[in-house]
Amino acid sequence: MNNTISRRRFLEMLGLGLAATAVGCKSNKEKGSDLSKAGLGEMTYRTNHNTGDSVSILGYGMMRLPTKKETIDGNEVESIDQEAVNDLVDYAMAHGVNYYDTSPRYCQGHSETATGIALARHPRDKYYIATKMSNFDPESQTREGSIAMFENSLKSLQTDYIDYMLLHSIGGGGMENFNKRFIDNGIFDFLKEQRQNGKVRNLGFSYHGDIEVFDTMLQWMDEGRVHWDFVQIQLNYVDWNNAKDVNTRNTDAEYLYGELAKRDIPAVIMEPLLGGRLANVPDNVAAKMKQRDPEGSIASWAFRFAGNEPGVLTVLSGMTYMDHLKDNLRTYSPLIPLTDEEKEFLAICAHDYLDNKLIPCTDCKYCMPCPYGLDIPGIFAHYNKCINEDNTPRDRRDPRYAAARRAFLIGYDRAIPEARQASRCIQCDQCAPHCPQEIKIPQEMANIADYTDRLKHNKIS
Amino acid sequence: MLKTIRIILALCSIIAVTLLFLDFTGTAARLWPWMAQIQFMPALLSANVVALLIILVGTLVFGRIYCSVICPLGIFQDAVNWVRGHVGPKKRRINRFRYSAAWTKTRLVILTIFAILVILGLTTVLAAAIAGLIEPYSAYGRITSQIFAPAWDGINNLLANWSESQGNYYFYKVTAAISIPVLVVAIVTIVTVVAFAWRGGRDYCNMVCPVGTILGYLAQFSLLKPVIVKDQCVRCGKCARNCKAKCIDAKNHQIDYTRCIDCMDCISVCQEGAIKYKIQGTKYKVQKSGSDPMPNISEASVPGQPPHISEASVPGQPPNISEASVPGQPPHISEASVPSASARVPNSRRSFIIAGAALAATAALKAANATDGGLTALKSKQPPYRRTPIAPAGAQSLKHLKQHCTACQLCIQACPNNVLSANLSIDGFMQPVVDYTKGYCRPDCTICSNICPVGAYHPIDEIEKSSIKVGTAEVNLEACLAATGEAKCGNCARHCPAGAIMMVPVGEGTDNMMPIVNGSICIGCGACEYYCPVGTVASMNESQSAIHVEGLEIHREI
Repeated sequence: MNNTISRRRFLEMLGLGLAATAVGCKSNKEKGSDLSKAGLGEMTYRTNHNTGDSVSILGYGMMRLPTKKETIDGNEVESIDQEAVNDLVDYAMAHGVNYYDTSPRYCQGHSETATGIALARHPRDKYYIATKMSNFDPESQTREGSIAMFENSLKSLQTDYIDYMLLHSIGGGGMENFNKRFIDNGIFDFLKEQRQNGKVRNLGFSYHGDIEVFDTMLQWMDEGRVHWDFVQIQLNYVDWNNAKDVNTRNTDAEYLYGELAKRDIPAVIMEPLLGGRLANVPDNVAAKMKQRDPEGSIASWAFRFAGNEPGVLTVLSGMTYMDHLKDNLRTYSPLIPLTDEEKEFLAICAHDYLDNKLIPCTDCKYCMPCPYGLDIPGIFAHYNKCINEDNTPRDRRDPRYAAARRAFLIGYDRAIPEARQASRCIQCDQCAPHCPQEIKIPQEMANIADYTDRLKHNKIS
Repeated sequence: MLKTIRIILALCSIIAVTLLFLDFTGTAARLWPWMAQIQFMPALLSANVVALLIILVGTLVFGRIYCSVICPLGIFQDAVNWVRGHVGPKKRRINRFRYSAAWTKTRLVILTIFAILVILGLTTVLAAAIAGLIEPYSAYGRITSQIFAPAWDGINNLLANWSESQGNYYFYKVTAAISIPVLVVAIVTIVTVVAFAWRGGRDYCNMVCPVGTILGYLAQFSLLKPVIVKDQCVRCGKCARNCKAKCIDAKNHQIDYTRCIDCMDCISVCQEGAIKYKIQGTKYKVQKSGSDPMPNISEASVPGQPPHISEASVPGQPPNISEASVPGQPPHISEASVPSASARVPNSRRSFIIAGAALAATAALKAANATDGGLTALKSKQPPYRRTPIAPAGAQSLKHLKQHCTACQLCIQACPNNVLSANLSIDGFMQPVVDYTKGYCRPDCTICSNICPVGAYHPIDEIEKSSIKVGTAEVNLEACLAATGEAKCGNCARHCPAGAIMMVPVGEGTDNMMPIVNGSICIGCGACEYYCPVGTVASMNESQSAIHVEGLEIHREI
């Protein structure tokens, strides 16, 4: 997380620099430094035609909540910083954000409680809560386990009803896994009943992975077997047409959104920033964006794209820090639709971005904890950061070789303790099935370990 | 003038030697490894003829300049003396020395004991390291590696913190490899040496140091020496009162050349110019500085020694010896010889991990499947019990290492893979011993063997190194994750640079695979042991690797 913010700051600084050089005297320090009321218009809202909900286009993802370090019994423990969460939620509420998305699994299981505490301080009719049936492990896949999970969500969130209930991350493991999680134990019917008796207002699913599951779900709707009030999909300007380049198992967001639009199903957008990576694009892409819009942040391009289509109900953003929140509020108050020319520009940016061979990790931490202690998302974050900053030298004759090597190796040791680095991966493959992006984690770990070793011993060709 | 030259040379020399121990980037060790090799005792023990000739001939020509400008412990004592001359009441720091008679008997007794120990070291298990306790270079090496290096690393780590906060990469964190027993020895040594220097100038060099005794004997016959010109002497006694070696008998115009270290202090302190550095017996003619009889010291004191010890300089066995010590032989080494990790200062990074993972220990592990995120708590792996300890490649055999190593700690400091640590057993105390908990011995690294000044290692190149067998890996199948079916692992086989480990099915009707070691090509590098996950996770019962290397008494070529 620290990386994210420092990178973002770096890019903002870069942006200011570019703004100064490219735009000359057209400076906008007042607006850039803080969110002034004057610069903000009204938040854009979208209507859910199923229930008539007026939902803010910016939705708050509660997966990356701020943490603080505490010392308990002499041990340093990282826990959710509830005060910071409250402040963020208060600020978001004050500026019109009314959709809050959580899950029993997020933040090591503490997200729902923290979200509940923060939201209970506001009138219940002022916001919508989204949470999920996250019955991934066998214990919670029993009927009793899943129902207990649902009841516990209500309790943790301090509410009698869930506005938006999702079947969490279906698609991984194909229909077989779907049946195990929802059909065999009757939870699918259970959730439909909850919708009837009002404990669930909207029923939907979030989807990653096997396209067969997505298509089947929509087919069921066509056959009248189920009515989906909304569907949560991964959508961003890179995934729109190039999802296969990010990850061979992914499906283009254009197709996913198109299928939903055809059936008039409101779309909730996740990963608008690809886990923060689209706020931290390679230098050449960042420069282009800043040239076009010196005042807008790099992330604002991704958010404008994500919310652009009319069928999008809300765009989820896991905003850890106040500056993330303020930046997004600026983008969406109100949302200025993209012109066709701007869409084309983003398509080009997507191609430039993909040329940098990043690992498509979104830092969701579903793979963690690694039983052998590796910090998997941390390793990927460092590697991607180095790719973005051009610090993964592949040629010793590169004039930047020595500097890039230092940045990669010293930065690696700073970010990840040696005992948690990629070289410690034993290829047990326990992580890979959990990855919604279906990254071949052990294989990537071996590649990174091998690259690091060669770099360390100057064995790069 | 002569004193200034001496001071400049001495400073260069002590900085160079000290950097050999301090510079963790390995630059000093790459650029001037010969600074350790031109030390007298290392040159003698490694039969480095060139270095010995330079020192001996230099002494015969210039006197004991070795003790003034090459020996780091001697220069260190001069530094202590300099401090002594600048603190406290003026009365006690100015003109504080007085001529004293030589301790010839003491010197000879200590030298004899030392010689006997060295010779015994070559024939029995009594280690050369014991002799090395008073030998100046090794003593200085231990002081530097145990006391100066941690301070140096500490400063570096402060800078690394700054560097990290600034987001630049000028400095990075390192951890000092100190060992408490060696630290104790180093502290005793430094206290002794400082006490000697504080009270009596160069008393250590002229009473205890075996090198001082040997060179002192030769220096009597040196061509050039400081000589008191009677005609010019006013008998003020200032020279004697400022002589660190306390060897000037001003009354009789005599200098004890067995103790004079040619520091040139007397020459610069004599206002009458009555002390000349010249050939004894020659009449001194009043000359201008233009034709100073001073010969070119710099050339002699910093000889252009080639960085590697010559072939001829390495005594002992060729590396390829009989089958005498095959693994699996009854253990020759006592229990005490197993390095104990508990005595080692914990690596700060490790303790950080343990502390930082407390969260995982409580919550995440318990509910590992129910939630996402968190880090698994880790622990530091304990070194295994080795029936036969491992001698580093190049050392040829455990015996050769024990007989030649003076425990200066240079190889331990220089090892870039953190494989070497100080042996804490009586047998081979403070000498390097191989341990694979912090790294493994890369087949392409030959630093220890090439930097050793005392001939405890035979210098080897990368190709030789990759074929030297120092031990054989052994598997504990009961602890092995793959063999017990606990996880799909095979990390040892994957990381083995020699390709000596294969994964084969445990038996019929099971998918479990077990590693088997081909002992004929295993070189004992320890990659398997280092990368074995067993013993690294806090919740595991095991605290040691499931695969470990058993040392070979005598190294072999494969």
